[in-house]
Amino acid sequence: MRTMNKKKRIPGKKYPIDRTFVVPALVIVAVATQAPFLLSIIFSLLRWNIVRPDQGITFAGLQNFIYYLADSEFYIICLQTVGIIGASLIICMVLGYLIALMLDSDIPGKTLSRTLILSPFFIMTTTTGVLWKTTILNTNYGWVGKLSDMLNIDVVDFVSFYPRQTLVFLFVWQWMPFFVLVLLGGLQGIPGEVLERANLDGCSWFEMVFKIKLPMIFNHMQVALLLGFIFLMKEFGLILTTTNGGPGQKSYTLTFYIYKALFSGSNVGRAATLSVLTVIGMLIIINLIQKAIKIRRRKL
Amino acid sequence: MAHIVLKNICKTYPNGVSAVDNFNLEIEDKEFIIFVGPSGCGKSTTLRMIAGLEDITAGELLIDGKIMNEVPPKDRDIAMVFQSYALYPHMTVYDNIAFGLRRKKLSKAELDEKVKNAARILGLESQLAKKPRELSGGQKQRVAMGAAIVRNPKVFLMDEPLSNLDAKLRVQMRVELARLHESLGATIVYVTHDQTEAMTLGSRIVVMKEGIIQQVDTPNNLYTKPANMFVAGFIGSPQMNFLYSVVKEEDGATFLQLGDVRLPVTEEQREKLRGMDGKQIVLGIRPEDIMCGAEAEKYSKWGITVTAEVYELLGSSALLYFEFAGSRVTADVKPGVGEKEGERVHLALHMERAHLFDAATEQRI
Repeated sequence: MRTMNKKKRIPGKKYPIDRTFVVPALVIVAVATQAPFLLSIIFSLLRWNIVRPDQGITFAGLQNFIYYLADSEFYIICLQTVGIIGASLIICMVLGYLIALMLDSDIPGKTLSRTLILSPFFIMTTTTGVLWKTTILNTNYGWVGKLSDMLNIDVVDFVSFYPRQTLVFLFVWQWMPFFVLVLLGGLQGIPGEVLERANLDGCSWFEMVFKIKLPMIFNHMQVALLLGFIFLMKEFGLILTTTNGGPGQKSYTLTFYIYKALFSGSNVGRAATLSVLTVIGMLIIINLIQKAIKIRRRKL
Repeated sequence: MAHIVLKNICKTYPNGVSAVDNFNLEIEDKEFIIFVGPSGCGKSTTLRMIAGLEDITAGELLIDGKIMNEVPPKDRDIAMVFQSYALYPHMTVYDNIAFGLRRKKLSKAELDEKVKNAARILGLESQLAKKPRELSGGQKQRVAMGAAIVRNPKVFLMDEPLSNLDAKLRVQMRVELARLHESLGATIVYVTHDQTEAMTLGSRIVVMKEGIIQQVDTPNNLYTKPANMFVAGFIGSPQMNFLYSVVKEEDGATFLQLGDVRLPVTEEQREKLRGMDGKQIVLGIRPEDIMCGAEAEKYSKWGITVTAEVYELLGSSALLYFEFAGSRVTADVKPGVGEKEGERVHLALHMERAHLFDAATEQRI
């Protein structure tokens, strides 16, 4: 028998064999997490129309990318995405902070209101979409229609005439509870003595909220902002069930655009290209947000 | 600067728990007054009521003759130093100190001068640009003090400000606090559960238990004339020994019967115990008032013989534990006395320094 184990291990020293034990786990993680993205990259380099098998699958090089980068429609939808997501994020953050402040203070029925306010977060987005579109926003039998009839005013078809605003509203309705949850966690983590001292120091409500509490939950805001951005970017069910991207392409986001490229355009290559572009765009934006946070934190 | 009066102050929580009961105290200007007592005795609650952080259920709080019960904390002209320092983590030391001042509408130069001055007093000049997280515990504590000092308040309230520091730093900060009180001439109300802090810092000490004041007195009086058994036991370390005994009057002489030992009492004590023949009382004697060796010989009329049980050498002296007249007793003896377990030791109780308490009411006789 070999007496390898008799050799004394020196703590901290790297042994090449150690790494071998990590390989299986590494492979599984790499395949499971990165395979879909790698496939997307491969597909994005192909000319592949699923309803035309006769054309076959051919290598297209960067043509798909060139197609989108030269297409004004792509840029319009990019801007639209930034607009819808950006507006939703800002409203979610501001309203979320205010509601979190409210839930953090001693108000009667705090527990009940917390549960009620958080409930939209637990509803599936497609359900939310269907409910809002039919039960509430429908101009004939929805609440909007009924209410307009009762008040005898012209009914407004929000979904058709204000599709982007409607989407922003629904995004906020669906996702703000998440912001409330994270920011409330932050607020409740602020030590009571600091707030008592601020009180003794003569802080006004405004100063308390913006000069003491806000900077102290900065980390929570960062988490809410980054996760919220990713959640909202991936939002698809709400768009499909309400505006369906319309009228025309007025309420397309990149995620919806990808869906359309594949399921209406039947173009696997183009859809994959859009996915890759979206991921790149998101990475750039996330990096920018983090850079901005770093600069801001240095100033704090 | 400030004269604080607490009149029949009570605090009862909504769930019916009474935290402070009928608290009466007058705090003179420039006094360093200490609230001391075990956890949950209501000392912090009382301090927080003075600060306005806690509502007063009943009674009146007056600062300089004005009723403060309903005045918001910020208008009471007080500064508070908290146990956890309560620094704003996102602000520099400078801003932390200046924060309370910014509300006072001073010119920039004036504010700067005040902050720098406070920093100089506390030795924080080189730390002004740092954030609290870069400071040590002692430095944080000093910043908290600085933030209180610059505001030049009528009253300083301190809630166990040294509890989070290590032992060495605590001693150092204690000295600094005493110096600060001297130089500022401020009124300080200080809460602690540490009797050493209370004894060394306070000009007067308020001993509390279960929301009720037990005694308000100078440190010396608390030690030499405790009003009841609780104060006697709380102040002093190691704790005072309590021996249950019976008063005996025979042929004009008065004795205390402790088990089978009879101890004659002093002239003064005899006066106090007159007519109490047969009554059970508690004899309180501090460990250092139990004599040994030559001194025990000198006071042999109060001599006792005991069996040593545990011996702890402290250095310059030693603690001897034994059982006497049915009670556990600690004596502060010279090193070497009763070193061996089971050794018979001759000691004497210095009756002139002994305290007598009513066994039923626990009050001083």
